[in-house]
Amino acid sequence: MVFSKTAEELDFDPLVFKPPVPLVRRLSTGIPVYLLEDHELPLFTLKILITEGSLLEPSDKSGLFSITADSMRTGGTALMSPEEVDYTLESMAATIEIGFDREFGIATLETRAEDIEHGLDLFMEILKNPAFRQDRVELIKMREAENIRRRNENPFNTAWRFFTSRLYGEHHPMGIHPSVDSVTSISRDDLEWAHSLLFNPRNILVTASGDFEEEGLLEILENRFSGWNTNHLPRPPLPELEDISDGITVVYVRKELTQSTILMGSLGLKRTPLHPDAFSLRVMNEILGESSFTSRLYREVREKRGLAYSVGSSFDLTSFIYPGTWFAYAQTRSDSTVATAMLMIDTIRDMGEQPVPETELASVKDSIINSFVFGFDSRATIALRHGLLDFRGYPADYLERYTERISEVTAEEVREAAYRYLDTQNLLVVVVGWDEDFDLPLSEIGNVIEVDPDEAVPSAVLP
Amino acid sequence: MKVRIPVVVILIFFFPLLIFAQSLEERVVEQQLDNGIRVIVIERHTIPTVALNILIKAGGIDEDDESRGVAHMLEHMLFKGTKTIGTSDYEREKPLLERIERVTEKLDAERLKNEGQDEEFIGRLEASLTSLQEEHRGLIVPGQYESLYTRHGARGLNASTSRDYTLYTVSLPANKVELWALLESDRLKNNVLREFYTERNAVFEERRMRVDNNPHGLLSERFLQTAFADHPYGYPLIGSERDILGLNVKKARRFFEDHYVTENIVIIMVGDITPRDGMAIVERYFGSIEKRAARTIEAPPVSEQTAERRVEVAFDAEPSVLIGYHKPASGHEDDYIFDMISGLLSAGRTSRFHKNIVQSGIALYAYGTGGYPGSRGENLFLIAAAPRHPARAEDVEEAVYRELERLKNEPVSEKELARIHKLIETQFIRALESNEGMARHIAEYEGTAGSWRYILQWKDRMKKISPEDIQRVARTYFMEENRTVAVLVRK
Repeated sequence: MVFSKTAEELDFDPLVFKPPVPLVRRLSTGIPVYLLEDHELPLFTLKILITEGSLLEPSDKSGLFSITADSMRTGGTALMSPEEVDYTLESMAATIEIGFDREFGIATLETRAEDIEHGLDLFMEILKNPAFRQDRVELIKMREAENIRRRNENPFNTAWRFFTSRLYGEHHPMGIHPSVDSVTSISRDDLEWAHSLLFNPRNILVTASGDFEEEGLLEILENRFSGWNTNHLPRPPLPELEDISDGITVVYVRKELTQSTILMGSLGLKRTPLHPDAFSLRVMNEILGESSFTSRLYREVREKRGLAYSVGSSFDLTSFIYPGTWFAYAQTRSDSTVATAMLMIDTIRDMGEQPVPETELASVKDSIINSFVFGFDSRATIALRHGLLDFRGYPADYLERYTERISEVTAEEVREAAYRYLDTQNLLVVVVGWDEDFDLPLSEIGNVIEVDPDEAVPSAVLP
Repeated sequence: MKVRIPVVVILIFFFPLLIFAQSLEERVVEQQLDNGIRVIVIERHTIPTVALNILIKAGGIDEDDESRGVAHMLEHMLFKGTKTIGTSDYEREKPLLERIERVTEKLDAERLKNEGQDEEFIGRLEASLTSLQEEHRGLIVPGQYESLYTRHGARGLNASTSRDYTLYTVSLPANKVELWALLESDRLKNNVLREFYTERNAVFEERRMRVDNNPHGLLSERFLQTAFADHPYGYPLIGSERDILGLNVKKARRFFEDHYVTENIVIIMVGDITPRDGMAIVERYFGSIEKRAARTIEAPPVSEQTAERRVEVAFDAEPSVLIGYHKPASGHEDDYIFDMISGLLSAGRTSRFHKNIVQSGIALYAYGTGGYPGSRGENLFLIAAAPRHPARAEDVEEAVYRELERLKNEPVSEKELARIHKLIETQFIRALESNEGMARHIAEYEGTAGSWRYILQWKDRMKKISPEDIQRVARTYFMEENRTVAVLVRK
């Protein structure tokens, strides 16, 4: 059978899509709750959003919050030893994990539907009364120290560390990274302080999805979350951020490799929900380097010239407390390092100088709009997202109107946003590699500062 | 376009839930076209999208000595378009492509010489190639294949090559399935391997990223070379640098003709589509693909190992260890028992490795898994571990062997068996929660065991595993002479 249509000639039915919306309630203690039923599989997922993150860590205790989180999970509770916690969870085939980002944390409980109450009991014990048993805490600290010893094995991670610490300042909450000292110096007092600061009813919201009945679960949650009294600890103050941009700086991280990792960018956007630049920047980054195959960086660096396998860009649109970053990256053989970096800078600069052609703009806007449906493929994600959007103060119709706002972005808006934010005259370029094999000196790009990747990791024996 | 170079920390547990497996059987609708292409459809209405996978039952294990790395290279090349997609004038393009091929043949031949390379000749050929490539670029529409997809809302457009099979994936909104059928059938019938040599450069960079400058990738490569002396599982899937230099359009085309044949193709559709609509659209677009026989070469048997093999790799990194024991291919009765052993050793925090090696402070991590680096052929039970300073690699090895001895000598309690069983079952359901996850798992079974129904057989076999079975398998396979060990040491 011969088909004569080309891809452009195909006719498609419109997509009918109404995303499920969670039930929103408030417990008597004031905690907001977002519930979304899903009876396809006999599973239950509860995600608690903790509305503070590692930005609040004291600067000499970087890593404290993730160590607190891991210690809560594995250090036992007032009622159960760590071994009992592990066995109980795994006998139910349930999991509890807690993790922290810079601005927030998430504690997750996953169980089979038949074990919701039992799972919740254990979960609440862990959240309210962690025991922080000494041997388990030591284990976590030592493992973190080991991860720090190994962190330069991935040159991209190395580049990222130097990029953020240089941009924000190595002691600033956005630029600081855990060290062996900061991690091993964590005491029980530190853990208890972090626990009280973060895990209290004022700081959380609850989201749940899975095989349950809404009213029944509400009752259970009301019961479990009531009577949770904690100390009210003052929120630590956050330091100011200095903008230290000053021409093009190249941070050269010396490491004997045959392929260089290039990471370049600067400070970007401090987000507010309906920030006027948010939508044009979303479209702009999609064109520049977000989408793997069709972006400009991919086209110029990989497809046209075969200079890299891994190449792209990223623009952080979800940092609310400090401006996030934007950056472009590529990994290329040593003897094409400087040529590739310069090509990247040219490609970025072009975004701010020439408006994108209409066909390219339309195609990218279509791709964002048409793939929007995929953001709703997990009920747990939908429920959590609603909670996060509410907490951040987004308008109730934000998701509903998202694709409409994307469709309104113009080529001039994209160019103008690129011009203002992607400042190629004030750029930080981090290069991890071996300059003996480079095609040209790094000074061709900007002012060079050389650093030793291991300077923060002593080679002496760790405690 | 990912090469599945085995990354040791990835673990996949393929264990069905009793109840769920029954309903899975009811939900899978399976058919075969006249030309031999098999189609599997699972209808699900969580959101209006469909995960679409095309499995080609050919991978690294099917390569011959002159074409190592070709399966992966071909996978990259199949994104470059067809006679109508990605070009503004194929008739004019075709002779240019032939000229480019002839120049690069000479160039590669010269570069592959071990000595006496004529630099001047190379220079002239390179100049000629550059000018031909520039001329060629004037006739192509770069990225058209991908942008057709993304414009219509595609997500997860990608492909991966493993040693056992190659998988092409994409997810689309449910109203766009016909686009996929058109593009994919066109790709199978009319692909043009354009811009080969530029893409080959990107593959060189991929190798540099995953292997040469990656301690774990480098260790895995040397480990497999040592464990599998002359079997394809021992060759780098992406190819060595020299192998990649030896790849050309002719070899890629030949691999396509030999292996991308209808009897090797399985189409998997999971999501908001009825089996009837799915089958109809596949029949309409793929039904006319000519049936051709596969030209498979039987892989040599894995030569028997009679003594422990060890290899050391030096790198600017902290130590780590890979330990492998030869085991039978997927489908063998012992394979199921290895799955249970993997769970006992490393599923969750109550597992043996975690409690006795990680929590005791000896290791940063320790995992055990079968089916490495593939499972169509005889493969390895792999244990990957890294010492936590100040413990050393030797301490980790010792601790691992202690646990394996326990498996040989102490019967596992029924309670522990039941707990591990439940754990890995639930991990499996969680993996099926998305359309993509479900499609992926079906593809994995089709590609290694030959049929997704393996999931159902598995259910029955797992129920019957006894403590004695575990001891028997441990005693048979976890022997020193059956063992290969690779250690990463600090340079």
